[in-house]
Amino acid sequence: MLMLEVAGGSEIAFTALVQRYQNPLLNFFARMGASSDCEDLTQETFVRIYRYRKRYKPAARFTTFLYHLARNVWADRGRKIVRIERLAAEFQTEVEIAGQRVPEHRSETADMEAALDQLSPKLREVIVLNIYQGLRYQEVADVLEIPLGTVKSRISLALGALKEILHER
Amino acid sequence: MNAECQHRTDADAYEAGELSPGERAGFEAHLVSCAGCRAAVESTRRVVGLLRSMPQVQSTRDLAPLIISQLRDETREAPRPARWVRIAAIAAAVTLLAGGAFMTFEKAASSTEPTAAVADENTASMQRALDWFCQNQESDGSWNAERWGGNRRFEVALTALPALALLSADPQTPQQLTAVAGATKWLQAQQTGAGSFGPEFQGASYNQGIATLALLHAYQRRPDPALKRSLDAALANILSRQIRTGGWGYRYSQVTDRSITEWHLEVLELATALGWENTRPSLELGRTWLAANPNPRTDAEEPADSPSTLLARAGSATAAESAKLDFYRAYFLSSALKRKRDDSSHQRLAALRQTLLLQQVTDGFDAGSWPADDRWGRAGGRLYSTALASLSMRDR
Repeated sequence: MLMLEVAGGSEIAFTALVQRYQNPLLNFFARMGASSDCEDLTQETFVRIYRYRKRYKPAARFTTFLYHLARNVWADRGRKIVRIERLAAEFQTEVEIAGQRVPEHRSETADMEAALDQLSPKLREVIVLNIYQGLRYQEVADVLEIPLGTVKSRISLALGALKEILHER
Repeated sequence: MNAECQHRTDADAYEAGELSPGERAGFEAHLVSCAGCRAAVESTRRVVGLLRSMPQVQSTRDLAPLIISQLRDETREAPRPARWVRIAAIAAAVTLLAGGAFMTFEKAASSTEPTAAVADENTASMQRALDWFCQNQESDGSWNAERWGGNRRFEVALTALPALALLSADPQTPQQLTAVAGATKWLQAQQTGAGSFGPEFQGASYNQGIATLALLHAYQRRPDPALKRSLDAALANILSRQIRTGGWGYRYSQVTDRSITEWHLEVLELATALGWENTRPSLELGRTWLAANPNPRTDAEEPADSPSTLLARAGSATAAESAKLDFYRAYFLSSALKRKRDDSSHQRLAALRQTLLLQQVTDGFDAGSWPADDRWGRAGGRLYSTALASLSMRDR
């Protein structure tokens, strides 16, 4: 509903939209691995939401639209800064667990961050969208434009990898 | 864990609540006999719990103003027609407004009625303005003066003006009806026991006149006993403040102000037409004062109104800069021109509206509004400019 008002050009609605979703977006980018540029990425996402407001279809969930754009922002950032060898590793396989580095004894939060860092981007994004952003599997599939079955298998692979890293199995 | 179990991938979906009722029942039945899957479910639960235990990032500031500012900058930088094209268009309208001929309007000038295409354009322009008002109304029914560059002490008038613009739509859309109802309720809530609206200060007379006028129009559309009581008090307040000269002025002043007097007379004219009898003597007194004091702003015959005079005054200023409208004057001038039936007035009204159309924002957040860049803009902001410009576009 709010997004429809934004599509109509309402600044009040847009302000409310930013206020409602700025924290979820900041967390999305933080969990995806952004550091000091979380806020910039969040801003860029809202700018795109406004630019593409007329493409929003009321039939679709707003969160699908939101995270689809956020993921594009994240991908654009990746294209700008990710090193070639890291991209190569990403394309090698999404099943493979990157590295065998075992975190030293640290706090659980630091352990989890380190564990997330070891996931491939494709596995990491399904975890971020599902576990942190609270999207159902079908919504994750809609955001990533992949089949539901692929979401299910990626989440299983990601959780399996995390268990491995955290010595859960 | 039993890595070979074919149900292994269901463990995560089960824990996430993503299995259908049938799948869930089947998996639960399987769990009874599969220790590996039970361990997998338990392990998933722990990992998900750990993931969720990571602290949330909280922003320390509201990002909305920054983003809106960025978008505004982009809109300003967006490609626009070449400057000479805009200047030529405005200059053409100015020429016509000054009484000159311009072939675009040759056809319109041959009739006292605007062409259908021009009328459609005016209606569409007004509709865009009304949409902008509907989109930017506060939840309490008001319009926020400061948000749109106005002075908050005029918030009553700056809520009444959009309401007046919305009330002039015929027929009104459900959204416009809701907006008017909200504004009416808010205005009534601002009324004091003395019948006045908003804070007491020098410019309170504007709040009083414009709010009363908006409520009268609302009452005309939908008579309501509570609204009538409110109007009785508001009108009594106005009558009590009439100066001996027959006009009205700023609060605490005994000097008649033409603009304030015009608003108040518009109020009394409508009130009298709607059946308030006690307003008639004041109305007559006010009219007498007005007739005795020629008005350079509203008299459509007055040469001082013509943009050619403005151009002459402006000296070296460009035509575009000189054609920048004073929305207040545009409102009063259009009201006066509308009352006249001759070709020349219709031609000038068409030119005035054409000039307004050229200045209406067409894209971005402010699409439908007019920038408040005249001398009253600092007091009224975008609500004032948009309301008066859109009221100048209406035919009634």
